[in-house]
Amino acid sequence: MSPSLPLEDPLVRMHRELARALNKDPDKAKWVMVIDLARCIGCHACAVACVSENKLPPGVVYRPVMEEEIGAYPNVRRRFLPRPCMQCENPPCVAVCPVTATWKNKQGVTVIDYDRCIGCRYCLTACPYGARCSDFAGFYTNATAEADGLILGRKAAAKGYEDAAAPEYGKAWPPRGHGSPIGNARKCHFCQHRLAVGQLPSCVTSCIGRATVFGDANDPASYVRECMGSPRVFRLKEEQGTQPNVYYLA
Amino acid sequence: MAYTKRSNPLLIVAGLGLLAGLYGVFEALVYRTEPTGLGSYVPWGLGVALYLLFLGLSAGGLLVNCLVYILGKKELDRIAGVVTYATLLTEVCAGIAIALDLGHWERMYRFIVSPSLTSPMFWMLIFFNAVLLVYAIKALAIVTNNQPLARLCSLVSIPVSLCFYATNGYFFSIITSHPAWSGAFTTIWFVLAALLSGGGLVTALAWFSQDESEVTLRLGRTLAVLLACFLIFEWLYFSAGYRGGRPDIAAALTAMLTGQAAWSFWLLHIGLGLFLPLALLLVGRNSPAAVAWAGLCIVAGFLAYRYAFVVAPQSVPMLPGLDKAWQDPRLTLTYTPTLGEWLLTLWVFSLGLAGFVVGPRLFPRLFSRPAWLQPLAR
Repeated sequence: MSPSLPLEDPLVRMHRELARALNKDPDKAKWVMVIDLARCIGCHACAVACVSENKLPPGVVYRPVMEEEIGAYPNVRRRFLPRPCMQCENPPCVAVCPVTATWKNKQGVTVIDYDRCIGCRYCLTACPYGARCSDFAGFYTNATAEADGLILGRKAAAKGYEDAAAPEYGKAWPPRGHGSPIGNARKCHFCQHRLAVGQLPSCVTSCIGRATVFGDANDPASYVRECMGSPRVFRLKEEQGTQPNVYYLA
Repeated sequence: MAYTKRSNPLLIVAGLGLLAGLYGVFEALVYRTEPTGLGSYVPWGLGVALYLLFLGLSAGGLLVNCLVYILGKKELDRIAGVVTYATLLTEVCAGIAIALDLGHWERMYRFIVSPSLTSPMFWMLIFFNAVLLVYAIKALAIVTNNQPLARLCSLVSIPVSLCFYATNGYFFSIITSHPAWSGAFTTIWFVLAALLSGGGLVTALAWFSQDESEVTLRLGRTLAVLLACFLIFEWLYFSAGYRGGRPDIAAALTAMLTGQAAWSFWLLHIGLGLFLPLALLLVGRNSPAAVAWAGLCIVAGFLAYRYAFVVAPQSVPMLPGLDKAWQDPRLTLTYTPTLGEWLLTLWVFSLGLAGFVVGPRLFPRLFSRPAWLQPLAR
């Protein structure tokens, strides 16, 4: 075996480092994500895992994977770019919220108070990355037949997913009704509810190419800090002055 | 002006509109944004355009007060009552339009209990209410024949209104993620657009509601100047946008000129809202009726301008390929208003129309010359 190959799965290392960050004062951690584009194969597993984890309805997606075709035949390549919330240091979405429903928490993650949001969608237009969605009360089972038959009816189909409460921000948001988070702005929050119990964000654990690295930027020995020091590192739309906390490796 | 029989057909039209539009109001109240054609990449549509239209129409008060108290055109004070009423009514219509566009209108109290001083929307609300308050006091002053108070309100309303209309422009000008909106130019252009559309409304009212030919002609001359300024601003906006070398700005402008709603931009905004009134103001500059119709044309064409300004820049993706990354009707760059949104628009328009028709009955003193000007009657 080549000595350059990693001796342990990066996920194991990230889990260990996450536990270390949570064992010290968790408020002193600064969560950062690095996405290695050379390792992303465009499987969209992170996007699907995120939808499943946060019980997202149709039309709400926190981490779409953008695809780009480069070159001309026969020299054609595809490039994939997952786009979570950038958790900007200087987030335009926070400043424009008229009711302080969104802010940066102590660990650098931009969060939303669903019970405070008035649904004006100003933050959606202000985000330069299109990272916020509005929940328009979509249901996957809307077109599903009501009556039970040879296939499952709507109620049974909904039971598997839409009747489950969304776990965001450590609270069980009621099964799909008409209250929050319907009508609200929603966004990636680095799976705050998972971090709180020592789990990595679902997009990180589901990444089969181990392209998504997550950890505490204040830990000099962390894997994420190591990646941030790569000469391949860049951030999206640096010219906007938002200082994203999601880094990419070209 | 007394309530006359010729008001009846308008009242019937307004009544039918209010009745038909009820469905849109019901949808907005109960289902909020769910039945709209909006999405996460085009989160603002007809509701925001409607709000901008009505807030612009409310600027007639600012225009008349500037003319009376800064430029000394005292004869315009004859229509102070109707202008005050128009400002209040259009502000109410604007407020209803934007409140029903919220995902959670029932949480509007949050503006008071958890305000954010960094948000232009918060300041917009503050100035919106300030304008409403000042004009409500002024209406009371006119009704009670309190000239000093009316004069004070008029003077106070000038800076307050300027702040309000500028804040609405500033609201868009800080959104750097949509470069076709951003920049200080937008703030100034918004004030000008408000003065033009509000001026159009009060010019029409001065003639159709008050039969004030001298005032109508005076306002017509002001409208012509404002219209010329607006055309220059609009040319600057497109010219600088295309020549600035920013592909995202050029794409937004092209969407305005050739996109889904291009027909309304050219026919309603440019044709009906700018060139037809300009022609009427030039050819019929001595005819109060022609001038009043020019004002009405400006009002009618302005919704198309507001719609194009709001919707077209959102059709440019914030990141290339973002709209193709996850397939869903709510994650596209196109927007078509639904029947419910159109009906809500109809309801708000009908409310405005009904307000103007029944206004003389409900508030006769506002629809006649202020009592302190009665001796000056021709």
